[in-house]
Amino acid sequence: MSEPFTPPSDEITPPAPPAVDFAIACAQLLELMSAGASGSRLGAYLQRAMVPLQHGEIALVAEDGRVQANGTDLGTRTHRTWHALMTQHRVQRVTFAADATTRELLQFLALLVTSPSTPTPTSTPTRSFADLWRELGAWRIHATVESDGPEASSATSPEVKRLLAEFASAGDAREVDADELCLLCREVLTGALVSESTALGNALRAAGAKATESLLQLLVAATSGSQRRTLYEAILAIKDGYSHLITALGHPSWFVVRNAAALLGEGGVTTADEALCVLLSHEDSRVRRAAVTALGELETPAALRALHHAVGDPHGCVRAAAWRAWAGITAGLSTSALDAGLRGEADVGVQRALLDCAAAHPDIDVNAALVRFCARKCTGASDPELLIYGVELLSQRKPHAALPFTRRLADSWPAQSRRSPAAAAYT
Amino acid sequence: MVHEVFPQKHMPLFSDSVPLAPAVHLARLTDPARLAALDASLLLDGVGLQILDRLSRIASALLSVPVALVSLVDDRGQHFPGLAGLGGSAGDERGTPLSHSFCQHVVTRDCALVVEDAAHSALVRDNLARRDLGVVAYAGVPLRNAAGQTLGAFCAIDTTPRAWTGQDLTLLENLAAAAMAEISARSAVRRV
Repeated sequence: MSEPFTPPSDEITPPAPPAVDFAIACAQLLELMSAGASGSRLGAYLQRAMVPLQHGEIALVAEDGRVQANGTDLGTRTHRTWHALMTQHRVQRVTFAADATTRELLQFLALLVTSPSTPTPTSTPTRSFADLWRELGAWRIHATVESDGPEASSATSPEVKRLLAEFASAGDAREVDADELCLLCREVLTGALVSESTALGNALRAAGAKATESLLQLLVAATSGSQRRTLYEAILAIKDGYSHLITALGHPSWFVVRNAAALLGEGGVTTADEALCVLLSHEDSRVRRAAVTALGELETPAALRALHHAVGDPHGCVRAAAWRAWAGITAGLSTSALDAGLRGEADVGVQRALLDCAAAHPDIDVNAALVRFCARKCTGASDPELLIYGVELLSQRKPHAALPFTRRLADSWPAQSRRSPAAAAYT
Repeated sequence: MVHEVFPQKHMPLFSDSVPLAPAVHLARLTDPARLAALDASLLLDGVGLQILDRLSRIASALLSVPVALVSLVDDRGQHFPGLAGLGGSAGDERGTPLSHSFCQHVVTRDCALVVEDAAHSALVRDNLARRDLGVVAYAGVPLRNAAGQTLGAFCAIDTTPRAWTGQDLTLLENLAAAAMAEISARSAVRRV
């Protein structure tokens, strides 16, 4: 049993870790956000926010709308309570019960990264809590749940809550009937179930292939990108019934075909490889790109053959997808194809993908092509990022070939960004 | 053994045997214009930039050193928007307090700093980077913006004693120029 909460004390034993760890919640938030979040400033905040939880003496538990510190009830869980705790004490661990909403986690995160008690370089707040919260809220709106803005509350209906509770208690033994499935799918569409995504995932998984089929129908009829994205993620969570997706590859709407192709790839449905290869002749480049990415996930012999052709696609986004797919494939990449790509590719996006591919295959000898690539970048238009990437690869493979290019790196920026004459004079 | 490298005779001279007065050191670190330029870069407090990481990796590979850093030094500590090979909390947080900073001396002296073996250097012998980060040999050149303010250092670090060469420093200066161009370009975009 934990010691009572006495703020000035230095000897407080934290309780055993309860329900939801904030660090895990942060990780879940990162997943909820768009793919680039982990590399963004906000992603950095999230990751850094986990650090202070490893220090300090106080363990906080948020449950049933109240907050506890080392087993002692501190009252209603409000912003003021959190703020007082986080600014006046060193907190070791924060846990949230299952009823914590994403909004609440984000609010807490905002507090944490602006808290003077945070033992990180962020300990001196550079902007107000309100500013940060606004930014988090804006980001949140951009994520899956459109209806759950900074000040909105969870909109989960009592009926759905009851249904999810039944699933939680019955587990896989509980089957889902058609009406229940429709109800859950509606909740998926409104995005109200993010804070209960585990329960929702369990319920949909219990429905299995039947749920995939229903969600696919909803996906076909979805009217907005965010709806499609939500349904896409729900289907992905089920991991069953993907055979229905193969039939969707013949759908007249490009976005249905694209989503089905992407799902087949992420689901690893190797039997879909031939059907995906056919899509490389699709008139829409977005479909071809999704098919290429999916084939890269499957890595079947037919997929590899198709990827060899895809690097010659007339559209740059498809060629880039093909090279990125090759970056993730361990064997079968042709040295001559990579070499030819580095020599002749003009599209900047594809060049970046080619370098990604070259970086992933250090065993392939394309050094001469890399030297030519860097030389072209030095003499051509300013493109510092690609030149530096090329020089980096060369420095790891053939250092003496990279050295001459280091003298030219600074020249690839616009003149006004280069160092001042005074700074340049002494080198 | 510590050397400061002065590629041209008109550069200001500071010698290891004549350490900077603490007040001067502090005044240069806390220069408001310099701190404003650092803030404008938006590269403090754990922010990492892929292009600066790449420049650090190039330095690490070409100099055969385990660690290379793009280090911005403000009045609170040093921040590494570009790094290669730095693990532990310093790497995770992309920064250290000034207690662990050799780069602060590059900033306050406004010239390159070369340390062959930190154990024999009066300047950095007691620096906690020796104990906590295993820094033995260090070579750092200034990151100077167009206004002439030294914002930090581009440095290479070895965990064994090392005699740095002129070519090593030339390489660091070339990479520092590229890093500073990127930092300036970001600040310029922000001003626009």
